[in-house]
Amino acid sequence: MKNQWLHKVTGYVRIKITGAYPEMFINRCIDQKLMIWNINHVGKDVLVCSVLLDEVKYLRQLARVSDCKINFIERRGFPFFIRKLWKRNGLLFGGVGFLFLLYMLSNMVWGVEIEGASPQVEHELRQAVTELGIRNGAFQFRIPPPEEIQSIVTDEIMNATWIGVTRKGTTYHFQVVEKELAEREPEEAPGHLVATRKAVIYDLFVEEGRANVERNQVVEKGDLLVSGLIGKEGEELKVSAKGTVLGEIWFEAGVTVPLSQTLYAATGERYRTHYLHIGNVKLPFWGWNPPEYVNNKKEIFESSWSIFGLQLPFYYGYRDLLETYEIEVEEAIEEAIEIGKKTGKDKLSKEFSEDAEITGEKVLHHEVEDGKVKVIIHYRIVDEIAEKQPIIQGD
Amino acid sequence: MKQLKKRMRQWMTEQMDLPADVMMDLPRVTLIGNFHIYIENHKGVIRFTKEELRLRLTEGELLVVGSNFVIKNILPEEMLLEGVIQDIRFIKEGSSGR
Repeated sequence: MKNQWLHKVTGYVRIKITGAYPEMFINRCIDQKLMIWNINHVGKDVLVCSVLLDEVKYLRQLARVSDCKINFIERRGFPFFIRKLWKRNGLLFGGVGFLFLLYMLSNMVWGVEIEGASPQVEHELRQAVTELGIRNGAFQFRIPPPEEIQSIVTDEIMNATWIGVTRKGTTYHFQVVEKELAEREPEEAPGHLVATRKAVIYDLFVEEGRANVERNQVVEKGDLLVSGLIGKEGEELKVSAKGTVLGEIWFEAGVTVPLSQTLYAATGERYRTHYLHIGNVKLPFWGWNPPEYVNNKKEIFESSWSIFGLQLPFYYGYRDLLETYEIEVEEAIEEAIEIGKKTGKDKLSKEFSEDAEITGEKVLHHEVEDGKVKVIIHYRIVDEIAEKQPIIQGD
Repeated sequence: MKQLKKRMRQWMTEQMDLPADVMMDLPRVTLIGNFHIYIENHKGVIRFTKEELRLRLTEGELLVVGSNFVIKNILPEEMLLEGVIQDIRFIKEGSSGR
């Protein structure tokens, strides 16, 4: 069987065959290998059948030979449909015109929205954008792509740090981030810089004011380092002295270290309990009977499970119970001194600022007493020693 | 001579299990329910009306009787008839049919 849609594309006709013996005409058609289908008997000696449009030209001769008359009664298929459509071309033009209009209108700009700008900046931006041709009713294909608009507009508007441009359908969105001018630091009250403790000046850097000391000069606590009075004598100007003054400080620390220490060491015996954490609840699911160790230490491990960057509310964890035993560690005096140095440094951090630098360290003296070592360590430390002191009026 | 050839073919069909319609140029008729009849190896239409189809065969004729007949498709040696089929009959050469 031939496929039924092919003849609908090429077009076909229904013909009426009238004659004394119309079957003869059918036979002839078949002999000539013409496509012929849907043969109906409509009356005495009258048949109706379908024939391909391309093969119509052979029919007349065949009809003559088989002594029949043919009449065309219907035209069907695509070529005839087109012809029919052309007769109603108003409809066709309407459809095409509609599509064209829809396309044009959807490619116009129907809105410019500005977000996050102050009225002044918004006005400025609106003007700049209009100059670029972005206004209601403008065609989008004459407007540069959003990335380009963004760079142009960001350059043009001085008061905006960043302007994001996006196109959503027929609307342009401008997201404005305005510049925020940093506020000026408030004027500080005029003052001097004085020393906080006894030190040797190691280095000084004066931003504002007049230096009153030199390097390697010894200063006592409260000595003037940087003066807040500048200018000629008699008519000085009061400013807030600013700067960094680093002084070298000598510091003695006394540390006592016991010679024996009690430590705990693991015996190697351990017991693990597995947990499933759900929210804040811990559910042990394996290891129910932990042994009872005299001395023990706990180690806890918790995993975290996440999916797509999202932390899951349940996760796995375990707790190890380690058996330990006490050991006494006898320390040599030299080792005790090393430990003393370390503890001494810890003491320093309490006394000085975080930026303090230890430039020298020396054990002055140590003595053993009652199983303890007493160590006296001398440190040389470089630290900031300047402190603000306001200038009192009339001083 | 013709008789001999025919007998030879018949013998071959029987002995070698070959389809009879191919070997002996016989019609192959396929019926689908009572509304489609598919006929191969026909030799032309003798008569076609709404109630009757007469086909020429190599030997004799094939008569199909029923109602609302439409030849859906016709090719040399092959055709599909649609309608309500009531009767299919083979007619020997020379007899009138009904």
